[in-house]
Formats: sequence, structure tokens, C-alpha cells
Amino acid sequence: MFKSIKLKIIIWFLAIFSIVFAGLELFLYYELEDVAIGFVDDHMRSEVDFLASILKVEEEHGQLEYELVEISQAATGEYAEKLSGHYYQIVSSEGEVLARSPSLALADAELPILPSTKEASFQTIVGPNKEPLRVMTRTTDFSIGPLVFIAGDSLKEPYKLLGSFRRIVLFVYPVVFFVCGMGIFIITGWALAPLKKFSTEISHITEENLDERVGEEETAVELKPMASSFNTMLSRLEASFERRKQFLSDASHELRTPTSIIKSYCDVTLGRDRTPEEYRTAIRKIGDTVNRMVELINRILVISRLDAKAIELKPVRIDLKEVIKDVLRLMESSAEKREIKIHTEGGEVNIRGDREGITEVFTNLVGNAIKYNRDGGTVWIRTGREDKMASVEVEDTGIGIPGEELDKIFQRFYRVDSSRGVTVGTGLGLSIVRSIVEAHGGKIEVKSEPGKGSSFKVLLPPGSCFLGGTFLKKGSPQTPFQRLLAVYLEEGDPLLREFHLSGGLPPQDSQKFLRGV
Amino acid sequence: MRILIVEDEKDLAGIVKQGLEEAGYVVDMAHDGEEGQYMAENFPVDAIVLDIMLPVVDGLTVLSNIRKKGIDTPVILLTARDALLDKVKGLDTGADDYLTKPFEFGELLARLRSLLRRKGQAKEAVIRIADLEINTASHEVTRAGKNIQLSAREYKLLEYLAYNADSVLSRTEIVEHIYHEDRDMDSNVVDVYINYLRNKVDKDFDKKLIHTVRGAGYVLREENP
Repeated sequence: MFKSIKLKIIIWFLAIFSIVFAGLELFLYYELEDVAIGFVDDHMRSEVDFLASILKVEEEHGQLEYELVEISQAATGEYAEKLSGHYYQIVSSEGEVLARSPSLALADAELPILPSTKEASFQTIVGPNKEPLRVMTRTTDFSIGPLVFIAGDSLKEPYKLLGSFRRIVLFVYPVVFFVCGMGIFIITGWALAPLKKFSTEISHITEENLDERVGEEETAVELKPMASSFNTMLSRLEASFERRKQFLSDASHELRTPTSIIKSYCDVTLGRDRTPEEYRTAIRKIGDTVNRMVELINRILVISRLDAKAIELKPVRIDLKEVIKDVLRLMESSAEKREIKIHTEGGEVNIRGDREGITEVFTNLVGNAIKYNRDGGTVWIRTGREDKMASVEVEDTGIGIPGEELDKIFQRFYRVDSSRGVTVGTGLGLSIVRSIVEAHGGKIEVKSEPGKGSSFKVLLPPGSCFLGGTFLKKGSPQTPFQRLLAVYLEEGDPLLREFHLSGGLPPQDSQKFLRGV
Repeated sequence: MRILIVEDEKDLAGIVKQGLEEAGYVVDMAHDGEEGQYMAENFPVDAIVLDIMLPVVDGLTVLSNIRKKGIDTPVILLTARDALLDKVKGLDTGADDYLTKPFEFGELLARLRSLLRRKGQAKEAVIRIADLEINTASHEVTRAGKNIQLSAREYKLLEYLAYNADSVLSRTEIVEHIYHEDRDMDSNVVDVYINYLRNKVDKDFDKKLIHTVRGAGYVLREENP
């Protein structure tokens, strides 16, 4: 229920508004009450002062007793009216009522005698006419002893004023509440409109139109960072989608050729009756082609697993020299057949890496060095160290790669023209090599001179820190940062990749780093 | 009829050649664009099966080059991509038809027949000249409803004459289109086969269809009296 920002804003606004408004009203009410009662009090005070001053004057003339009677009778105006709500009363210290206003006398009522001091004290009581009555009591010394002056003024009028104030507030409050509520409703709607527009724009982007972008220019300043990071994310998504689509299309394209060979063999062979020898030839050809397809499919699987980081690379201590020796044992016969000499140089170089993956790398590189070599050519394999990295260089005296094709050889399904008289492979080998090397946090460099030969140099960090899936898959990602990192690596964020490739963090530190965050 | 296959995948080219030869065509093969273009320009081929992805020069470039030189030999493009854009581009460049790998071999044959007919202005698989009917799909030949048994060579010769009905064909032309270049053929062999054909096609009928044009060659046509 409180998931809505708009509702939240409205509720909070109205709550704060109600409290402030109610506080203000209460404050005003009490202020008003103070002022109104203050008027009454002042009036009574001046009345008592007046009475006391008259009595003082008369006392000097020795006419105090007379004057007290006089005061009881000779009042005018409100004080002369029976129970008018304006009273006074003078009481002796013994509690005897010496004088009272006609308004009291006519109804034979008295004001209660309250404890009194020389300072005026005020109190609100129920008056003789059942009205709320404000009374003031004060003692003044006279020759006949202290006299208590009690004055009373009805609070009917001030209460009427306060009552109408209350009524006004009670009427105005809901109206103001409603108007402000509507106002804030409209304002939040208006303020949240860009967000709504933004989310509508986003919701229109599906995998079909990943090339669209959220308009950053027309977005509100507050939403710009969001729009821009959303667009960045889209770009990465699009690129990764595009890569996958391209790979799928290339893969299906590559599979079509062997499929057509098989299909044509079946169609043509079954077109008429044949001798057993003819059938054998056809089936053999189909078998060869199927083998080719299996090889291709395996490589496609390896590539897509490497892409999805689904292959778990197990880091173990490897001597690269040892790996190359193993690879050469497999390659020897094909090299001998074409009288290609293989020289190895350099000492042992240890790294931590996945044995199978690293073996695959050098099987491909040495295999290419032999395949693309001239008969009687040479292959040099040099192991060593370079900038703290382990390096292996595989150099051949083969056909070489023209400069404009150097960038492309690592692309999937890219093959140097078969017209050069070389049997072509799947076009995936070097792509797999690069993926594995990069998964180890290493890099591969190539130099070539057409007609003279090529040289591939693999650089691997001594303690390879595995990237992405391999590393994080161990336990499923736990902290949000790890998840984020996993996503980044999944998408192959170039910055992060760069960070790792530039040496990044040594494995134990990156473990710590990840645990830290 | 003589077909040129331009396909870099040697296994595929080989089996297609075998299939086409068994269907009675004479087949030339090229394994890259350059070679293909040379053969298309210099060999007397009746149709070309051209792969798009070729080394050295790609198929579309070969196609546009030969069309620029005014060679209007029918071309079927072969491609591993079934993207619509490729089809449109291919047909716009001057291809007559289009096949996506992997293809049904029977479909390739049917499309080739259709292209060869289009060249000879015939619309159906059956070519009719007077009461002679040649079914190019089943290789059955009838005259006045009567079945005529022909050898493969005889059929090839008759079919070539029929596709080019009403045009006079020289002996060299005939040899080039129905025999493979690597088998050195004396053009006199044409006379021998024309003779065989006449025996089977014309002999029992009053109306002769195979005519000798003195100093030029042979023609298959219905002569109006």
C-alpha cells in the first residue's frame, strides 16, 4: 500500500499539514482567549480601582460608612441591572458583605468569598445567573480594617467570540485540508510525470528494439543520471545481444555447408542403384563430413560455454614448458610428415591456471604454426617472462597473415582465404584461444609478415585470477556487489576487463576485496 | 547441356557434379571466383551454379562482372544464408534463381531445367516439336504417342537440339555442349549420332524434323510445306 511514491508524499504532506495547522489554530485560540479574558480582567481591575479610590476619598472625609451604602445603591448602567453579568461586592475581613452592586442586590445574590490578598487574583466560576463568570478579588486596607473587593464580569461575550472562532476553524479546516490535498495530488502527479514518461519509454524497449535509447536531453535533471546509466546498460545489452545473434547466425551458416554435402550425397546416391563400392564411397564421405560437423559443433559449444562462463576453469600450478612438451608429443608426426622442425627455447615458467584450457591454447597455436607452415619450415617456441607475466611465443615460417587481416583472425569463423592452398579449419580455434587466455587474465599478441611467417605471443599472469563466472560461480554470488560484478563480467564490461587485464588484483587480494564488499 | 559449378567446398562441388552428370549434363567445375569467372566467360556453358561465399572473388562480384560483359547465361546462386537481403541483392545483381544450402538435389535439377527452358523459351518440362515430345524431367521421348528408346548420348544430343529448336547449331557447338572438354572429341562423331537419332526419330515418319544445313550444321525444326 505504501509502495506508491505519490500516496506517500500525499499522506506525509497531509499529516504534517494537519499537525502544523492544528497547532497554529490552537495557539491562535489560546491567544485569543487570553486577550478576551485580559480585557475583562482589565475592566474589573479598573472598576475595583475606581471603587477603592472613591472609598479612600470618602474615608478621608469620614464618610466611609455612608459611601458603602451609597455604592450599593447609586450604581448606573450594567451594574444597576438585575443579574446583568456585571457585579461587584465589598466584604469585610470578617466575611460580612458591606456593599454590593444593585445587579446582585436586586436578585439578592452574592458572589462567593474567595481567599484574597493585596494582589488582585482572578478566577472563573459559575455566576449567580449560571453564566461563566470571571471574578477578581483584592484586599485593600481601610481605617475600619481590610476590605475585600470582589468584582465579577460575565464571560458570555468573550465565550461567544471564542465559540465563533472555533466554529470558523472547524469549518475552514476540512476545506483547507481538502484543497491542499487536491493541490498536492496535482503537484505530485505533475512532478512524477517525467518518471512516468521515463518508465513508459523503458517499457517499450524489448529485445526487438534494443537500438532505441531513452531521450536524455528532454529528461528532467533529476532523472538524467538514471537515463544515462539506463542507456549505457542498453548499449551493453545490445552489443552482447548482437554478438550472440551474430555468433548464432555464423554458426548456423557454418553448419549449412557440411549439411548440404551430406544431403547432396544422400540425394545423389539414392537417385539410382549403385555398386557396393559406390555406396561405400558415399557413406565414407558422409562419415568424414559428419566428423567435421562434430568437430565444429564441439567448438561452437566450447565457445558458447566460454561466453557464458559455464566452463569451470580449475586453477592448478602448471609449468608451461611441460604443457608444451605434451602438445608437441601430439603434433610430432604431422610436423615430421612435412619436414617441419620444431625448436623450443627458454626455461620452465610456472603459472596458476586451468591445465585443460592452457593445453587447448597451445594445441591450437602450435597446430596452426604447423598447418600454415611451408614444407621444411621451422617453428620456434620460446618460454620466458615479460613484465612479471609468463610469456610463450610461437613463431612459424609459414604463409603469414596480411596486415589488414591481423585484427580479424580472432573473430569467430574468420578464415584466411583458402585459396592460399591451406586446408581450412573451423575458424574457431583462435577465438577459443583468446577466450581462454582472457579468462586467465592474460592477453595474446600477434605479429606477422606475409610470406615470411607469423608469431603469436601469449602473456599470462603468474597467478592467474579467473574472471567472472569461473571465479564467482564457486559459491553463487552473495553480496549485491558480487552480483553486480558477476553481471558486469557476464556482459564483458570493457572497463572492468581492462582493470583485470592491466594486472587487476592478485587473486588473494581480489578474494579479500570481494569479501570486503 | 553444359553446366558450370563454382563452389569452393570441393566435396560439395564433387557430389553435385556427379549428380548433374548422372542427370545427363556436362559439368565443369571451378573452386574460386577468379577461375569461375574465367570459365563462365570462355566456356560454352548453358547454366551456372554459383556459390556466393567464394575465395579470391566472391560470387556476387563474379556475377556482376560477367553480366557487365554481356554474358546472359542463366545463373543459380547458392548460399548458406537465407537472409532476405542476400536474395534481393543476388537477384538484383542478375541471378536468375536462388537456392539456400542445404538444398534438395531434386530441386536443383528442377530449377536448372526451368532455367534452361526459359532460355529456349519453352515453359513446360515437356518440349514439343510437331508430334515429337521430349520430357526433360523423365528423359522420355515419344513421337506421335509412340515411345522412342534413346541412349544417354542420343538423348543429350536430341535435348540440346530441342532446347535450341529452330536455331542452326554447328558441329563444334554441339560437341562443346554435350561432351566434356577433357574428352577430346572429333566433331565427326556428331554426324554419327545425328544419324542414329534420325533412325529412331525420323525414319518411320513422313515429316522429317532433323535437318542438315549445308556448311553450317544441324537444326531441329518443323518445316512448313
